[in-house]
Amino acid sequence: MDILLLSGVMLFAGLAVFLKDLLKAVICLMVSSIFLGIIFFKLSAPYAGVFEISVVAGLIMVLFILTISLTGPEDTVVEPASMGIFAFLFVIFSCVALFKILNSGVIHQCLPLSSEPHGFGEVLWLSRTFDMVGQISVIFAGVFVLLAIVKAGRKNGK
Amino acid sequence: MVNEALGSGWMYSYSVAALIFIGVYCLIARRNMVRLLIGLEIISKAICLLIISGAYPHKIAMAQALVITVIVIEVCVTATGLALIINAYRQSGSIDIREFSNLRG
Repeated sequence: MDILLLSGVMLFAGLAVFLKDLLKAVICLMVSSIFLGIIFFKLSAPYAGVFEISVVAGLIMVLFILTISLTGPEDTVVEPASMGIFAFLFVIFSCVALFKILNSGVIHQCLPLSSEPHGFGEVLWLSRTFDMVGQISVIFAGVFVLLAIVKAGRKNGK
Repeated sequence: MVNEALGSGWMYSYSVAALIFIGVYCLIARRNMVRLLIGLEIISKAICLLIISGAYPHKIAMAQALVITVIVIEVCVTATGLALIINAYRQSGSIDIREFSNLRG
């Protein structure tokens, strides 16, 4: 079951990059997010799964579709083929190295120790209080940036 | 392994590496600005999967808190990026990143 879900995530993420039609690409990205949310549920992380499905597969995809409807669904940008081959070779060598690092278990050791059985709410509100402050700040920063960009667009009379 | 508690831990580490590969390839090889944001999204997905699979099962509450923080930041970055793309399209009529090479300092 795990392998099917992980294959689904990889397959639809790949389709999101290689499909010509931007709208289809974004829908593939959404399906990939849904598969990832199901994986989170399977790994006993229901809150992360709910956020992944509702926010990433829902809200972000609405924003993408809105942008595509304003800019045109067809990908008219011409991609240089030679650059793609170099990028492919560079990234495949990097990923072999990354796979080795991930397989060494270093990530598991890097995560901060929490003396479980703390509940998720306790960790979020007591241990990671500063994260909450950071999240609120990031949301405000995002709103202000959006307002500034929209205002700048209106001033230019477009 | 990413996590010894997962019987199929190698699959998770392979998936994370593959997703990062797809995202970085998209960032390097593509010129469409919407596709660049899609590449960023895919890398972010890989990082979330890495955190959750690395923490399973003993540190899963901490991992969920971290993943939620990552998702909130991801939403703000994407919304800002898409607003910039719309503005750039209104200014120049194109979403090709090469059209904006004159912005280099």
